[in-house]
Amino acid sequence: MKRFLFSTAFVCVMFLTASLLFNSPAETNPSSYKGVFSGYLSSEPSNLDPARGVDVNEASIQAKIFDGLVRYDEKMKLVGNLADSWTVAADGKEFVFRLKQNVFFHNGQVMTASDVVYSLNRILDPTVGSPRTWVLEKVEGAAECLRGEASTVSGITALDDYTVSIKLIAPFAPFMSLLSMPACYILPSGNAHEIADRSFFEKPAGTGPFKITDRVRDSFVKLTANKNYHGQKPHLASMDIRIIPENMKAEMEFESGNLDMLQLYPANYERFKADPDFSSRITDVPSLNVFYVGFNNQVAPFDDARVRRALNMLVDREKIIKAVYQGRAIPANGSIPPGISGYNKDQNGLEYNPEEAKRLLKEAGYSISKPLTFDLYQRSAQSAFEITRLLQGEFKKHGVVINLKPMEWSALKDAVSKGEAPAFYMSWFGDYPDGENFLFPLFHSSNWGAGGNRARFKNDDIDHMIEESVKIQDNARRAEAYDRINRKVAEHAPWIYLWHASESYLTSSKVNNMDFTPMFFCDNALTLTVND
Amino acid sequence: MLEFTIRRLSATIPVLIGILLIAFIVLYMIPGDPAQTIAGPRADAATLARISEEMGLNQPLYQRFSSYLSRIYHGNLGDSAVSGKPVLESVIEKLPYTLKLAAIAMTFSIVLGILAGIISAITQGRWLDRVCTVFSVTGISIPVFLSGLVFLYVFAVKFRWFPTSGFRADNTLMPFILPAFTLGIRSAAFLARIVRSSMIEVLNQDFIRTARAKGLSPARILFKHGLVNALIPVITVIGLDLSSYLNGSVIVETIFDLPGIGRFAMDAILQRDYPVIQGIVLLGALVFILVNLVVDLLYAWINPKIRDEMLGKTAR
Repeated sequence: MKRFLFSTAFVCVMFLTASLLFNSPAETNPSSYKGVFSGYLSSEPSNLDPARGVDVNEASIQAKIFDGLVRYDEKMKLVGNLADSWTVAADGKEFVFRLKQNVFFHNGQVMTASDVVYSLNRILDPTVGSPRTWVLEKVEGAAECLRGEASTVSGITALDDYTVSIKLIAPFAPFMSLLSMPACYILPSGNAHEIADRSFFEKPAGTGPFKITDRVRDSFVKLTANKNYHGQKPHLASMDIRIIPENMKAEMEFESGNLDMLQLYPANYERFKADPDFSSRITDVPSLNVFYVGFNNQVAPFDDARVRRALNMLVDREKIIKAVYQGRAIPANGSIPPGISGYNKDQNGLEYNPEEAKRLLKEAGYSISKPLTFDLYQRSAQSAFEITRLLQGEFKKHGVVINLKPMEWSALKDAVSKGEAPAFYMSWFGDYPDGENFLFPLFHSSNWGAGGNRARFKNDDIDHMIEESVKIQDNARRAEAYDRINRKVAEHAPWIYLWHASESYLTSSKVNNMDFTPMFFCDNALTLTVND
Repeated sequence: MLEFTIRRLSATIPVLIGILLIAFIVLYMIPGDPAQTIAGPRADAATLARISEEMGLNQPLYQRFSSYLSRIYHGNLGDSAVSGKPVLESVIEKLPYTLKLAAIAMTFSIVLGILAGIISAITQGRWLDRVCTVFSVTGISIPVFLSGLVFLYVFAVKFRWFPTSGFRADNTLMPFILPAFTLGIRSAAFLARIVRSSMIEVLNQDFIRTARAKGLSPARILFKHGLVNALIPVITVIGLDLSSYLNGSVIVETIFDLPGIGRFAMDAILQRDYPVIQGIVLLGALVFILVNLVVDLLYAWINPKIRDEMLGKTAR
């Protein structure tokens, strides 16, 4: 027995010793700036390389530590960031940026045109393997670089230390919007070696308003105010951004006073809204998104526009929005959400109309005795079931049978991209605030599958209209063109257009002036203050 | 003993290769394209092809497996497809959290489980035995995600006796107490059942009656003759639990915000980060094999009859 007790104690002591040997770094931060904001992300921002990032959580950290040439401010207005000013050639094919001087990276290096050229070149460097090559694919020489035929992109050049020119192969009016994306954030070319072996991205140095001073993966990221920031300086001393994957856990942490912000979901929204202690601190933010049920337009029964239109008319959007979102969404009449160019609130002829739907279904050969039956692929998550089960119930009343196929996210994306899913419940969140982002990837035939056009929609006229619209330099005229395309696509009803949902946040009583922007990378916490 | 250890160790290599092969085939078969996860929601065909090529996804399975084996042979577990960080480095970073959690949970489990099992066995059929039985059956039946959330709410949020999470849990044990208790309570309950039944079995045997007849003290009978002989199944259970704790508990690490191996594995699976998944499977298998080896050695140490049988010597 003694020996047994001894061995047990020995094992435990070994573990404790081993665990002490592998201790994690401790926090350090002396700062004269005021207040610490405690926020959280739902997943680890494992990759902070702007050229490789596609994740929202990663981008929200990147946005605070890096800068691009231009950015969208809190009011969604395009403003200069590292660029002081810029000119666009009359033919819309050349952009010349005049850079700010005396801008420093967090590691003390000076930012110059060569950093801009280096960072943009990286996106198109095949050895980097960036998933965002499409951001710069219209730049002169991009294709050659991607194919490995050129080592640098001929269309991106430094005219002098503080002037950069970018030439496009054809006019592309939304280009400035694309340049605001996290992919185009500027890195210090002096660290090219560490950037290439990716060790740089453990605690990357950008020019942004905050710098990473501590980080434990899967636990937290500590951001400290950059006192040398070139723009309006942040009010905060620092931000503790924790990684909390469970909504319920985040809720507990918020209520315990350990978080200053909580994202609300339909499941907990009503509880907080009904509580007078919290209700005044809830902010609903219209987000640039569209929720939809996509059809594979190439396979029966969804190759028949009558069926697609009829199913649109069976959805009482207002009713579902009220039931699930407590009214915090706007029925979609197309793919473009309110707040960006091309949105139009006019009806599209696909509104709730069960009688017309029944007529169309009958015409297509379906009835109560011969019901339309199909599989609806969806994510295996409570938030998806809340919608799909409602749709299933509503459709059943009208003789349409939906079999739900819940799947894990990676498997769902794979099945949908390969065209294996006849119908699928999904959403699209904007990458940049321009109507083109809700038309070209989603409905142009060159983007079938993983490119974004998961409905495999193909229409030559619409392809042509999209291609022409991006050449229009005048914003108002381009918005009109987007609107025309948006309505024309809706005539074909490639999806069931559902809604544009708002996101809701609850803040602690210590927080003031928090900017909630419709785009995840527009908020760089410059105005935010926290009272101790 | 040395011969036995060498024999057991040499048997681990084919087992490891087998486990790696199974993990490889399972990863190959599950739906979900890692290239698409990396490429995000807007990925053109050329980008997908480039990422697939970079990750070696275009090669036939046998080629991927053999190059993987050769990499492992050279001590390289590869880099994460998502973060680019070496897998081994990430595992070493996450190990202290999982080790601390495992050590404390194991301590809870052994102390509570054995104590409750002995009390149950010696008070068999009486009220104390019933109380222990109710507790152990409850402990086994309640899933960890529920008990974890309840403990968190009651002891951390309401009473504030413990921190709500392992956030910045570097130099203190406090944030580990609640998660370790959550993790340990289940195996403590299971252990209590095993100790109870094997103790009752041993205590009813002839040699115990002889010991009593010889006038040995009840404590000596209970611990020296009773518990030691009841230990074999108990050690098996402890070994299995320890192996699984060392591989990280996804649920407990998630609920209590501990950045350990379990969460790392779960994230990798959701992101289809093949190098990370394979690295964790390999290390997990190693842990299982080593812990089982230690358990076997403990058997042989506790009971020399077992050692003789393992070495093929005839026991008399």
